[in-house]
Amino acid sequence: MKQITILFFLCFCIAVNGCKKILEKEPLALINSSVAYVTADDARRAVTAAYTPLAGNNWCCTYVSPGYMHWVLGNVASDDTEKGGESGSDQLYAQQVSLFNIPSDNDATRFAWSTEYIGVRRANLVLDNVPKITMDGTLKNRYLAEAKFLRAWYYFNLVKTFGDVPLVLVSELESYTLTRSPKVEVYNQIIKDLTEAIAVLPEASKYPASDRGRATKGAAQAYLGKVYLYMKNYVKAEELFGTVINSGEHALNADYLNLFLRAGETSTEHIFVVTFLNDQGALPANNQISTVMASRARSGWGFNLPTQDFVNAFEPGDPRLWQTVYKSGDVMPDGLVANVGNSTTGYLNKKAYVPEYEKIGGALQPGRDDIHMRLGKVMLWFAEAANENGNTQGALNALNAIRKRARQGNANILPDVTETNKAALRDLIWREQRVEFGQEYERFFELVRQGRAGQVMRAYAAKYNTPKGSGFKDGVNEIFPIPQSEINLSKGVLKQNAGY
Amino acid sequence: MRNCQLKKARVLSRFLLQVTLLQCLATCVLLASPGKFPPKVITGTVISKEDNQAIQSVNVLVKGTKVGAITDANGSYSLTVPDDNSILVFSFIGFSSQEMLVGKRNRIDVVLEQDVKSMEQVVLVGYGTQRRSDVTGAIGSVTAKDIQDEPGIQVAQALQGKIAGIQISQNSGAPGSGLLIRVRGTGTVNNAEPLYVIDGNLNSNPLDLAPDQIESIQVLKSASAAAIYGAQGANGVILITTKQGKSGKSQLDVNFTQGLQEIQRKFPVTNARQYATIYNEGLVNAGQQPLYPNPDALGEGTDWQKEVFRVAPMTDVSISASGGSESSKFYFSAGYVNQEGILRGSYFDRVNLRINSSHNITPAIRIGQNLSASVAKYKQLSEFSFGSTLGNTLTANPEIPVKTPDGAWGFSPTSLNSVNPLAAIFYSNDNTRRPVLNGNIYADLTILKGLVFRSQYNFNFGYSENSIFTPSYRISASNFNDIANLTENTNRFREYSWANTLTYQKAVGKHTFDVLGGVTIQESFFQSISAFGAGLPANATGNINLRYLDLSTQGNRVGGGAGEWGILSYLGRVNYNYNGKYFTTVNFRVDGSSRFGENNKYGYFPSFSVGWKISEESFLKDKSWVTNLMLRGGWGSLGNQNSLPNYAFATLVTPNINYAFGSEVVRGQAPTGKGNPDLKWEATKETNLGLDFRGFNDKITASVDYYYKQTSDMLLQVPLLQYSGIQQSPYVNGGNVVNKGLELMLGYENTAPTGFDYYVNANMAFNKNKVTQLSNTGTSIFQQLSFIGIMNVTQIGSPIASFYGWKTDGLFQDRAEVQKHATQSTGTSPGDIRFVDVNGDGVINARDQTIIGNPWPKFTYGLNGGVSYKGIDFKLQLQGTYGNDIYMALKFRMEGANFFNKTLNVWENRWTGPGTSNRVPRQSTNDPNNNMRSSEYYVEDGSYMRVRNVQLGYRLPRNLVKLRAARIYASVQNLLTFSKYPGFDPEIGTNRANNPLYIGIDETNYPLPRIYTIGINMGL
Repeated sequence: MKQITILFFLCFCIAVNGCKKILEKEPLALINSSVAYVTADDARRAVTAAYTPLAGNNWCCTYVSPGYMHWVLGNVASDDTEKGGESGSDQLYAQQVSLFNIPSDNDATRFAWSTEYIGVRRANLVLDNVPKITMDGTLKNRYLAEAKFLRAWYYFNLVKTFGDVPLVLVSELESYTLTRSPKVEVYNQIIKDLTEAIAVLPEASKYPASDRGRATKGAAQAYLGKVYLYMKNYVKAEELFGTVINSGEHALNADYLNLFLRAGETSTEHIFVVTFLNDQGALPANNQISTVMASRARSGWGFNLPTQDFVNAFEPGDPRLWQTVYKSGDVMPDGLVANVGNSTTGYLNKKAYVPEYEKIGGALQPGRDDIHMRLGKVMLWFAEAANENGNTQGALNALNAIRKRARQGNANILPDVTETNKAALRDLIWREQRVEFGQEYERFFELVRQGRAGQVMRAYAAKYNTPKGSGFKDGVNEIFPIPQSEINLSKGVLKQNAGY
Repeated sequence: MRNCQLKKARVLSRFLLQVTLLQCLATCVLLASPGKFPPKVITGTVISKEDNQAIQSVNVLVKGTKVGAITDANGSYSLTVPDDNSILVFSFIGFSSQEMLVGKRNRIDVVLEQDVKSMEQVVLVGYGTQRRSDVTGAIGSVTAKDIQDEPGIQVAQALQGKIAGIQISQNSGAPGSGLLIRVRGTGTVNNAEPLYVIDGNLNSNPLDLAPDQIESIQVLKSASAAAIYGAQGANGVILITTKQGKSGKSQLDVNFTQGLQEIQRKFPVTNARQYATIYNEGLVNAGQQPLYPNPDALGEGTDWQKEVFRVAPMTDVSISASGGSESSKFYFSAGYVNQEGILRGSYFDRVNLRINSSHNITPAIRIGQNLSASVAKYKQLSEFSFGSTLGNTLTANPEIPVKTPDGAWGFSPTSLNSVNPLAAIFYSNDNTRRPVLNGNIYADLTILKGLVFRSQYNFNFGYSENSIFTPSYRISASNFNDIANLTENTNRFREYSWANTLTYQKAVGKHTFDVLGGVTIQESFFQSISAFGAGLPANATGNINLRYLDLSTQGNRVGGGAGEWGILSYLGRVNYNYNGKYFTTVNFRVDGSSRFGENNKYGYFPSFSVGWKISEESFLKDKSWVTNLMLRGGWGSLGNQNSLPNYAFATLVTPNINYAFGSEVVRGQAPTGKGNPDLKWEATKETNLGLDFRGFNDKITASVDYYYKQTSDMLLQVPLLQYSGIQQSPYVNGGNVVNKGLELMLGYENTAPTGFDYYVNANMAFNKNKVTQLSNTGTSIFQQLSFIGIMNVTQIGSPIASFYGWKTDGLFQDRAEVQKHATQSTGTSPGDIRFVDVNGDGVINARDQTIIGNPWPKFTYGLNGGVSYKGIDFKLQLQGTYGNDIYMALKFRMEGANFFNKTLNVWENRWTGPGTSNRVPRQSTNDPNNNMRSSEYYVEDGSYMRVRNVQLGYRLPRNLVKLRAARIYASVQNLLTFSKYPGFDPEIGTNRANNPLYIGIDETNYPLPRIYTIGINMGL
């Protein structure tokens, strides 16, 4: 019996001695945050993670879903684009935006808010932690400048989408009692970040090809110009756009259609793109936006339908029309005859069309880049700012350079503009902007910036006898509602935008 | 019946053998008197009064000593007594003990009489056993007899409707599909699955266990009963005992059943002509051109359900052998079950082996083992979501032919979105193989009289290997896969637990003690590995030998993760009763878990319960109408550590937040969440009050239980303000849920001398579930479905996972009604749904969303009855739920206007003009009113009553077959279902194994089959 008693105590002791091991489990296959910022490689990873929220561009299927849905807020909200999809209720948030019947829990705005703040935090994590890392000083400074560019980029989206927003400049908040900072403060921070980034970031040509997609000096300048344009500071806008145009870093791509195909991805016309790869092996490879906008008759989902009004906006014979939209029966760049499926407008977005020959490995969604800033945009914004500043000739030169490229050698179309009346020229520049970067996520915010969103949208609804746009209320719908959950969580400290 | 009881008694004896022995010892030691005569040998036999048959395993003990013997198969014994004054005590489970003074005799034969009171079951209570009638907590029991011959892959299928207070729903009818099991309601928004303990082995997966290896099941319902399982017991504990060998002649049993399964009912959908008419209507109402010039020309089209459903076989065969001697016992079983799915292309099969044995090495040492090996294989088809195989079946355009005249898969050139479901099944290869080994070894050491040490080491290990092969194919321009690809997923798990317990039993006068103390450790580890490759050879489509990653040419990628946790526990229990009248049980368990945060490493879980056996009081003791009347009550505290992720206490870096630069993917990483070092278990405290009755010649049994169960410190991911940029909300202990309910059980059993026996058992359980606190006031937990959006909410004051959306008030009949009503949407027209302006602000918006349905039943019930006469037996089981709603999510596609096939409801009841309908809205492909938003339109009554099993058996007379037992039977499972639910099947569990908040949502669930079975049991 004694032996048994001993055995029992032995078992007991083993159990108790093992307890430390049993109760202390270090995470497996996961890194503890306390050791996440030590090496130069850690810095690179941190900066990379700050770029990642850019890649979120639709709800369901991106690697960084949900993302900021530029196609909804920039395109569908405007007179250029119908929602499309399976039925009216398919991607309801987009229909709500299209009808300006936008509840405060609208998904597109909810995800825009959360995604951009995730981006802000990732940039803040870099700015808070990378300075402590011992590494090459030049590279470290560039990383910090990239983070500033990204923070500015995210805040610019926030401010143009929501107006006043909380300004968070540290990665770890002590408390959650922030109020919304006035728009001008947010803009000032954006200007500060972009200005500091411009001072450090290399020119596009100084980056090796393997760094294509990183923030460049030119990108920071172009965005700073755009920010000034949104602030109606036309002098600064013209100056910065002019700097980009004259930098020698960027040139218009001779072939307009080619610009949006894989072959055009390396064109120097691009100033800032979100890079995707066609490599299915690692995320984020897929840019699903091309599937979102592809025909339902070809495995797409049939969203983002160009409207008849958009098609009508093109001047007769403008080649850009059929390089921007397509309809059933069109012969596509890969030789296939198009079928737009259930498109209610009869059109689909050709800028998102992926020809068969680009589908390496049969992938349905090749990694087509998302183009956000290109010289075509910069030149027309330059033209607008120059016209406002009285630099009519500068405006005309830039405008006509765009029309010349669009003409593609056909002398019978798109004649040079010679209008010198400021207001008339402004209208012509606006029209040119609408067609030159149609479906490129700018239209709605352009209309708001130009102070005519309500007028244009209601006119659209009346003209086509459609609910789309008819719900637009001036003084309300220029910005979108802050997510209701955010207001609830703040216990009312954050106030909703008027009218929502 | 008598034989049966005797057999049962023998089975039970092995649980109680030692207990009784020790109790006797303890009692007798005090009464011993010293002897004066020389020792002598006494022999004799023990027979049963009822049938004059010898009884084996009777304890024969010299009173007041440790000297004893056990009768052999002939009922004979032999032992040496110290003197003539010795008293022999003959005891055997199920029989009244007898005492005999030795006197001058050398041979003492004894006739034992059955004792009705002690015939009661002995039940497992966790790390020990107790007499059923002495249990003061709430326990539900099922024996092998209650579940035998029911077709099923998993044991819980057979438990449906048999125990009050356990809600069981099959998640789907897919072979091998999981089940939703809730003991006394849902106490948490997190993991609410009960703990399975198979032969003392925690966490073994019931999917790997063959139901016919089970001897008995106890469900520890109340906290006072389950408290011995501490931080793992909050969701209830299901204790399963597998069969063990008995000493005596070896037995061989063979069971064979063959079933045929069919779909219970088809879902009524439109045919091609109706479909085309409705779609045209939707287009025209949206201001577009109709697509089909002449719908009538399309005729009936394809009946896709007829194409994908089939009559499918189900086979279950098992062979078992058992037996042993007094010192060694064995049970061996091998079985094979195969269930083909009623949906083409799905199946489940499993091979099970079990060896259980035990050996008495010396009277003080017993060792044993239970070992189970199983290999399950199954092929799954996607279900539950839009675009799943079954979803595609219902929504497929009936205009599409199964095949084109040239033999290729059919498609529609005008409706390229619609998938050919048969082709999808043909190209779907999602196969899983799951070999698992589990079991335990144990040793019981009787250290001193009444003091037993037990050490039991349990293990579970195995893996599941899943292979998904998608061949290259091209059905249409929108339905193709050009590059064959292969995904291989392996999940390995290994787990062990080691329990060391010490029990001491002692009776002093009228006081009886049973004390347990122990230490247990448990550790669990899993690892997942996945690999993907594309570009497999084209002929891999038809040749499974080519489906290996070595043959992939592109797109290779790999992934893998791991996790582990451990628990260290101290446990203790005292059972005490005074004079068999007053009972009390006190449990205490301390659990330390690696999942708990640094600041809360140990949890303490006490419980107690008391019982008053009123039937033992003098005023009832001699009343013939009552055998047992016990009033019991208790309180207990439990935890649920399973809700905690392994490492939620730490702030971790999310790896692979990648981005592409140039033509390379660059690795990124960032912390995306926030750890919480204060994390601890979810705590449940429950008060239970119950009454058990047995009487009227034991014909009637009844019990009532009331409970009030409160979960606090519920684990929540409390959302932070999103401007923090923290994506994964940190886990916080901060929610309360209350479940209260009433459980009723009533049974009647009659054994007539004519041989006409019958029984009826009814049970019913009411439960009310309410969330009483969520830590961050003003927040609720919302769940959404793709397309539909937010459709369920967990909020204070309502049941967990209540359906959420807009209330509806019929349809607008004309424009005046639209204008008179609160503003809904730009474009709202007659024929659209009129949503209720709940807050009366004149606008229908997010603020008008409210709770529109409850997925939890008001009560669940079961009724089991049987009749037997001579060799014929008949069994009937009913089971149902009442008062629960189903969210019929499939309506989004099947009743909203789009190019998918419609329910017949749309064809028959849609609005086509003023006064035509007030139920189904007009069809409009642009649906500006957003009729298909989450609303009461989706909510249907989910109550049902089901005839679960009808069985007719015949026991062949022994003179006809030279077998110990031979029985043939026929049964029908799911014969009839009474329900108002318009879908396939009202039995809906959860669709997402990892999110218990998706409850009662029909996203095209695989319907449960009706199964016709014939079977034979043979015993040698």
